[in-house]
Formats: sequence, C-alpha cells, structure tokens
Amino acid sequence: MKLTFTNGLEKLNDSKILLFAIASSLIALYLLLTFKVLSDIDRTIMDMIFWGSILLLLRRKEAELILKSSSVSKIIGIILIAFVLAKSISLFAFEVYFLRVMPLFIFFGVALLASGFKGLKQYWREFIIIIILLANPVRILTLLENAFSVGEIYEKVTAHFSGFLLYYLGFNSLTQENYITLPHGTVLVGLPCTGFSSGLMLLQLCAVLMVVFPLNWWKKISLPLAAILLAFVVGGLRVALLALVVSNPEQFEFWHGDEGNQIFSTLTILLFGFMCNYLSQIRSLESRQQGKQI
Amino acid sequence: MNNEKRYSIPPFVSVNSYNLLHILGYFFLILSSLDYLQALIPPDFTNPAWEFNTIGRLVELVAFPALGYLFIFFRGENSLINKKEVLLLKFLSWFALILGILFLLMLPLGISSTIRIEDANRNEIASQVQQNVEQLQQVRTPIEEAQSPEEIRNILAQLTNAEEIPLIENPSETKEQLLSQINTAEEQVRARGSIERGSRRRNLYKNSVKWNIGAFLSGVLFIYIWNITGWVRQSF
Repeated sequence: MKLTFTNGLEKLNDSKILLFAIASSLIALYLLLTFKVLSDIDRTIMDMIFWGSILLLLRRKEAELILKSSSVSKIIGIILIAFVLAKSISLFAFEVYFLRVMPLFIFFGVALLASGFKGLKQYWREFIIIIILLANPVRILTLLENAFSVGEIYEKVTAHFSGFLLYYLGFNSLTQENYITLPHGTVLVGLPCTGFSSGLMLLQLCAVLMVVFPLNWWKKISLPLAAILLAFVVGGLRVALLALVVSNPEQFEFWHGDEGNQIFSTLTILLFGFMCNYLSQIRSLESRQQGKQI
Repeated sequence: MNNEKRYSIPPFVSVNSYNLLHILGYFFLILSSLDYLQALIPPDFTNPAWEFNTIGRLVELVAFPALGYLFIFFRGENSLINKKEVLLLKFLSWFALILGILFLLMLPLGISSTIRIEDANRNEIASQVQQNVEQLQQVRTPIEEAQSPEEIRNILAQLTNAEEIPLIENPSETKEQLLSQINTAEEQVRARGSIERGSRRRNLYKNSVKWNIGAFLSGVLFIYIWNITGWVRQSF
C-alpha cells in the first residue's frame, strides 16, 4: 500500500515527520548562518533554491523511501547532527570554512539517521545536488582562469561587447584590448567585473535543474548555453554602465562595489528564472496544441 | 478552336512542382547566406563607413532570403513531409524571428552611422579647403609685400616658369592682377568645397533613407514570416 504523508502518521511512528522536521531545521540553520556571515543575497537565494530542490526530490519519492537504519548508523547520524548544532553555536570568525562543509554534515547526518549506510544509495540525486552546492565558484574561477586563459578571452570579448553597445547607443567609445575609452574616461575590464562568476553560478543552477527535472537533449545543451549567454549580456551591461559613470567617483564606487555587484547578479538569476518560466510555458502551450500530454 | 484537345495533368505532378519550388527555396537561402557571409566577414564594427555600407548591402540583398523562405514554406494541404525536414523548418521559422529582430536593430545603427559619416565628411572637406587656402595664402603674402619691380619679376618667374618674363611697366597694376587672380582661386576652392560637401551629403542621405527604410521593412517582414510559419512549430 502506498504510503502518503497522511497515512504515515498512522502507519509509521511519525518518523517521517520527525526526519522532515530535523532536516528542515538544520537547513534553516544553515541558511541563516550563511546569510549572517556572508550577507550575500544571491548566494542565499541560490542556497534556498538548492535546498528547496532537494526537499522537492525527497517529497516526490517520499513513498518509496526505505527508512530502516541500524542503531550504529542512527548513532553516527545523531553524532553528526549534534556536531553541526554545537559548531553553529560557537562559530568563531576564522572557522567560517565550516559553513562550506556544513551541507555535507547535514546530508550524512539526516540520511544515516533515516536509512542507514545501506540505504544511502537511494539518495544519490540529492548527494549530487549537495556536491554542486559545495562547488565553490571562486575556486573554479581561478582554476579556469589559469588553465586556458579563459579569463582573458572573456575579459576581451566583454570589453568589445560593452564598447560596441556604447557605440550603438551613440557614445563615442573606443575599445582596445581590455580598455574602453570614452570621451570622459577609460575603464579597464577585469574578470571580477564581468559576468563570469554569475555565469558559473547560473551553470550550477542549470546542473541542479538537470538533476531535478527530466530534460530532453536539446534542453540539456541549450539551457547552459542560454545561462552563459545571459550572464555575459548582463555582465556587459554592467561594464557599459561602469564605463559611463567612470568620471563620477561616488556613483562609480556604488556600482563597482558590493551593492552594485549584488544588484546585477541578482538580476541575472531573476532573468534566468523568468526565462525558464517563459520557456516552460511556451512548451506546455505548444504541447497542448499538439494534443499531447505535458 | 473549341475542339482543341487539352490534357489533364496527372496528380503526381503536384508533388514534383512543389518539390521544385522547395529545392529552389533552399537554393536561394544557401546562396544568399553566402552573400551575407561575404558582406559580414571580416567585420569592422565601430567603423561607420563599413557599418553603413554593410547595412546597405544586406538590405539590398534581402529579396533572396525572403523569396527562399516563401518557396520553402509554400506547402499544400495533405502533402507529406518527413521528420527531419520538419525539424529544419522549425529552426528556419525561429531563425526568421532572429533575422527580423536583427534587421530592426540595424535601424539605430544606420542612423547613427549616417550622422557620423556626415560629420567625418564635413571635417574632411573643411580641412582640405583649409589646406588649399593656406597654400594660396603662402603665395599671396610675398606678393603683397613686394615693393620693387624686380621682386615682382622674381615672383612671376617662380609662379609661371616662363622662359621670358616681360618687363613690368606698372608694378602696382601687376600686383593688383596677381592678387585678384589669387582671390579668384581662393573663391574657386571654397566653391568646390561646398559643392563637394553638398553632393556627398545628398548621396549619403539618399542611401541612408533607402537603406534605413529597407531595414525597417525587412525586419517587419521577417517577423511576419516567423508568425505566419507558426504552423510548423505548433502542428508537429
């Protein structure tokens, strides 16, 4: 007999509700801590999306989950969770690295508690999402930068794109290598100011989407490409804006500093979300017109 | 006359005729894309002259891809089409939208290029005229300062390279003549300058109007094509 959420109340001994409660409180703790430490809005949004998708996956296969665990695994799980709680209370400034691996602890803690070592395999999808969550864009950035000089190419292309955008809008811009020269000043385009990092962030999001939803081969290719393109364009817009205000120091500081940066990266994520939403609506509309099931 | 025998064309000819049409459509598309590639490679953006001329070339050639689209998408009801071709047609339909948007985006570029070329022309002609006037000025000054007939004779010798310089009876009169000649020359230079400026501007504006209107209409056309070929995106 299928175990639904309401049936579980009677059939099992509230174990699912308990596990769900433990998991969600740990997740909430993680999100709160990360936000307090980093105060990075789009990082928090990404984290929420990641955890939300994990919970979604779990909800979907809730009926088929095997929730038997040996006492050993239960104890280990409880130890991990307790460790997480203890560390969260007494987090020192230099122990911020703990936040990075906290999702791993949460995952193993709750999973071991729920299904034991034997049952870990059924959580492979969620584990992939955790790994994606852990992947730190900054480190990948430096790796890629050094490896194929991808950074320099990206900088140059962004500079030319923004330069041409400004030219198109009527400003007399001249682009050489990484420099955009306008009548009132020059900007040097560096990699942190382009859409590279937000592009990597969107790629993380794409990877999560691919794990959570079944996508045909066309979407698997076009979604990451669209993500990179979107990040590139928004990055180019930001560079163009910076080039325009380069003569005004306080405006430049605002847009170049943390707030301006966050505005643009959040904008990138939002636009990506709108685009996915719009595309899925088109697909469902066309499928309906073809008389197919969505 | 009314008893002339007329033949009834067999049904399979429909398929042949349509196939011919479609093949010609693909042919037009491929050939015109080669033309477009030739015009666009190598690109020289932020160069107003290149931008302007390229937009013009693209607009003048737009009849070919448009006709290609017409031929390709001209299908009869109940005719057969295989899966791969449907995929290609879907791609072409979306590509028409992209083409339309690109043509519309060319419009501000065309206008701004026109303004920039106009400025460049004006500056070029002005500097050319200035150069010539200064040259004439260099000739004029020694004449104005010359006092004795000997000096005037020397100047005449420099200017005309003649074998024999006649004796000068009236130096001031000769001076007057030379100066008036130089003044005429200067007026001619300025007149030629303004004629050149006018003709360049007229040429530029004619092309600009033609190509900008063409770009706008082409953009609208291709968006319409995307719309009207929606059947291939929705029915399969």
